[in-house]
Amino acid sequence: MESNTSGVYKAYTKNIILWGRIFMLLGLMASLLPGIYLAVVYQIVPPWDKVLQGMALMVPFLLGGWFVEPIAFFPVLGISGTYLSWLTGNIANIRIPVSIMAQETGEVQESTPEGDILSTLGIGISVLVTLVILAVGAFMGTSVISMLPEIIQKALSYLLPATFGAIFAGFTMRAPALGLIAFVMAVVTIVLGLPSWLRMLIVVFGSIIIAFTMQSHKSKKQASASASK
Amino acid sequence: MDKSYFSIANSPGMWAVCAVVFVVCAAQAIVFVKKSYRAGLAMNLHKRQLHAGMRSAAITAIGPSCSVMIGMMSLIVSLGGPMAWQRCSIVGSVQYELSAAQVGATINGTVLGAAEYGAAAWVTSFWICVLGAAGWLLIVGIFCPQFDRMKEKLIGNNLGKLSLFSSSTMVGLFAYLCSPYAVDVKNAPNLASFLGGVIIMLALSILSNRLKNKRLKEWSLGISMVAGMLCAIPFL
Repeated sequence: MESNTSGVYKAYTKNIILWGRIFMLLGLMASLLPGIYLAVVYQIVPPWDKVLQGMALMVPFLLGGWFVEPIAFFPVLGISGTYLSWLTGNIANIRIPVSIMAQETGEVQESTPEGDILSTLGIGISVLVTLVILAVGAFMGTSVISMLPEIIQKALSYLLPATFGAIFAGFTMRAPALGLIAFVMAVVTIVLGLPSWLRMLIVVFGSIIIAFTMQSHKSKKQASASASK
Repeated sequence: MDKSYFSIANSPGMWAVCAVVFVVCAAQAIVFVKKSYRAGLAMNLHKRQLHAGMRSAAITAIGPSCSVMIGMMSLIVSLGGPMAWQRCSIVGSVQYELSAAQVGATINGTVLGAAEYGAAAWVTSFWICVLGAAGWLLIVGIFCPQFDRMKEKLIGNNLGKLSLFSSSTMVGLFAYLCSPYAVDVKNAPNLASFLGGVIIMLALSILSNRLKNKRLKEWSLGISMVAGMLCAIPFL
């Protein structure tokens, strides 16, 4: 039974990698289409030297993020969640919250194959919800916004801090000391004025290292306590 | 005022080519949902569990998606409906697209929304947005299986270690993400929303543990997000 489950999961993951790669490539090509269309049909091409200048400005900021962000989110998203989330974006504000919710309500344990399945289902469904809402917004333009009560419109732009704060609090409950240390690290990196990808690198990997150090310290203590008995 | 590009930006042809991103992203989501649903059943998960997860994900996604949709409006003004829609439907965030588009404008000696922001600046903005976001697509497209191997090498397959790994990652990530709001004390609505989210989540977690209420525990994140957001209203 156990081997059957892990066999199914292995085959599933292998298949997801193939499809994930295909969709990342398709997404890349699809995102270039409007530019190609403008060039071919309307002869609207950008001044390429200016695009290069712009990229020269952007790349130093982006380069770290291109590598650090997908790696930093990977332990949480897993393989399938990584492909889904990095094609469609909005990771911290939508994909992670729904991944947590889907695993909670699906009553599965995180970091297990079952947890990964529920997380993927949740993220996939959330992608469809986001896509539909954005499509409605794009087609109806500002008129769709006026359908929402004004107070809700205004409040929605403050959803992000509450989302981040609530997720942080939820995980800090499980490991209060780690949460406090991580938070202090994060504030210090802001005060030092470090670039955001470096802050992310320090705080995320710092938290992982500290968590494992604390854990091994604890188990050593237990080991020596039981040995002295 | 050189807004002649706007008739092209909102033409049916542009809608059609920009819709391709929607189709690709939706197709990926549908394929992945189908595959994970089938694998879940084969792994002896109950249909009820799968449906409960999907339902709560759909509900949780509505608020943040509306928030992104409202942000998208600021891009529509400069890029036109179809292009803003395309940029928001694929990787990147509204803030990323805005700053990349702004770089495209600046390089052409103007700013987003200015009268001088014309076709050349517009198309420069587009290419910078796309090429900047392409980095994530390429890195993930190429290296995702390597991330997994790296994780296996570092952590192995021990469930306790894996769970410590992902929960400590989560603590680090969200400490990093929420710290700017805690530091920026002058922005009262942001600070209120952040503190509201933290305090309500703590209260609900403690309460649901005390009452042993499973339902409340499951929904505490969703409730804290919305209730925390509402804390910003008195400070607007």
